[in-house]
Amino acid sequence: MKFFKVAGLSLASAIPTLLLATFIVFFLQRLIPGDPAVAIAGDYATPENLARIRADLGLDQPLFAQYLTWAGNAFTGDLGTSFQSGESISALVLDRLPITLILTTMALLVSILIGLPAGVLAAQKVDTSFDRFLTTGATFGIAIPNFWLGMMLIIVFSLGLGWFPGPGGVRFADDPGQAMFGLVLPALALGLVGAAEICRQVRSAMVENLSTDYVRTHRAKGLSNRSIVWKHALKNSSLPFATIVGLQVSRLIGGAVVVEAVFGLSGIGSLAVEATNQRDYGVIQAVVLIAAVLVLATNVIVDISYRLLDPRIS
Amino acid sequence: MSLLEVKSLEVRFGHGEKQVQALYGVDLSIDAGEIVGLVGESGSGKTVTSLALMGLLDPKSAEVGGTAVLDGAPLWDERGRRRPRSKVPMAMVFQEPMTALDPVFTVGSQLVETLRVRRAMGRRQARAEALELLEAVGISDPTARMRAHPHELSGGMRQRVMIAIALACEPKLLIADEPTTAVDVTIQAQLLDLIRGLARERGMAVLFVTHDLGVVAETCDRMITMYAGRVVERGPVVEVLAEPAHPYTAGLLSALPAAAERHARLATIPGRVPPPGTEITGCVFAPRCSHRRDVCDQPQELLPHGDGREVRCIRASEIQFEGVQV
Repeated sequence: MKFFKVAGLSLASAIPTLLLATFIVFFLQRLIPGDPAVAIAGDYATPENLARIRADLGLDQPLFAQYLTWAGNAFTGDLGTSFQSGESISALVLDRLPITLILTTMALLVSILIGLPAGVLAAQKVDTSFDRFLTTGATFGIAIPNFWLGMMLIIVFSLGLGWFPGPGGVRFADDPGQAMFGLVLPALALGLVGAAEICRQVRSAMVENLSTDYVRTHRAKGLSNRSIVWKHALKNSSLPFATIVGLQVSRLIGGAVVVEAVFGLSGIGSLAVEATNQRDYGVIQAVVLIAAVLVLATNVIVDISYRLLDPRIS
Repeated sequence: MSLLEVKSLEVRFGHGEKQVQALYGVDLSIDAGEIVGLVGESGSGKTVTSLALMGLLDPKSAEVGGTAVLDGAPLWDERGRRRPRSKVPMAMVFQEPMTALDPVFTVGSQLVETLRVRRAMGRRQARAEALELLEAVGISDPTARMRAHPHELSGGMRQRVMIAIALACEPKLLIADEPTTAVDVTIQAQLLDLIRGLARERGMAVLFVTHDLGVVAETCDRMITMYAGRVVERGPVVEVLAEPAHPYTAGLLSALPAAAERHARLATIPGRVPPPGTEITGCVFAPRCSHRRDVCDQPQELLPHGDGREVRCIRASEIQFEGVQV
């Protein structure tokens, strides 16, 4: 019961943000120089042709009417057709989305599986050389751009050692196992920065929690150090952890554009790059809309987890 | 043999040049079922004493010396290795009920967890015992309270929960570090009654750390006054309060609002407790003492002073202080 109430509240508070996001996406789009009708018909099209194309695409309507039509259709799952290829945008997106979702999920797992234990261990050994080694490593990790890391990983592990397939990748539909394997390096390139960030945040939250009065109470009553660290201090550190994981998700979705380009993956990021080059408004809108929905969904999940993890937030 | 026998307990903080000594050879003994007050201002060493006994000082920064034997078994060996806390029949209640409970776990789970660790109980048995403990510390509707988180309880209730958690450890010795300082006066009286009652019922000894002589007068059998990391006076509460022998105990007593006359200025002890690490060769209290003489510059011993009393003041037999009847 409590869960549904909490989930409802969080969802309701996300709706205005979503509307605002679509609004901004739609209007910013129109500020990009260049006329899609010209892009379709070519530089030597007659004015009549251009007018006809604009009318077909609804570009002769007032902006706000264009927005309403687009938003209404989008709500029902119809994202329109691509100016360029004439294909359904929904189909285009659905074709590209899985690989990006798998990539970002794997990258998020990399971030958490490395960052969380590293942060907890560093906090337990605070101010030792082990702690300093980890925090210095984390600082470097945050500073490394993911495209550079991606290139280094390709050079060392696929071109050099030959452990992983080179850029290009296998289509997911053809061989899921092989495709996942091919995503390991991209996921590392995308996720290691997040691991560093999570490590730092978890470390500082744990250090703070391990010096509190209630930890002293737990020690006094004879709990093992393991239980104090991994159960009590960790649960008390879960709010900053949830926050940083939420931030990582938005960063990963953004980073996927670059990493997909480096590794030649045809995900939604590369779709966005192609669409931008071709001024394919509808596709760009769809991609940004999907990204916005993903980020908002993450925020809703983070918000719900706040309320479930900390009983003081009601 | 007493329940707790502490010999020349010393605590030093820090390393090398910067090391400061916080406790200087504190001797302490408590009998089973006895309630002993450990009294002193902030910085006198009373909390450090209790934390050292509990093993709650950070081993990286604190060095503990001396011996402590509880119920026949030493708390640590010659090399300073402590017996696991879960095996030692000792528990502690802290000053701050607002922060001493884990905020994100329910009262019930914190109690059950203690019982499972301390008494190797199964989940169901621990739950039943937890309910009984909550009842024993005077919490009404324990079944509902089990599900409550600490922030849903008042300060007094939280302190009762703390006491229940301590009882879950089946302690022969309970260390209570200013357990009533942070709650209001009516609750304070209830908590004191509760602790005294539980001690009597369960034959549990209590080391009651406090700066409040009123609390000592109401609760304790014996009292120990500490100053600058040393015991300066000890004896039965009634006698020490009726006729304090150490000028510091006398000073604390006269600083009690109840002892002062109405409308008169409240008495204070001039100066402050010397910070840990201060080199003092003579009487440690001399710089603040109004009865200081040249003899006070020589080292002071804890000397017998009448029946069952000891005092660290060379002039104790020459000076008479005004006390209060309890």
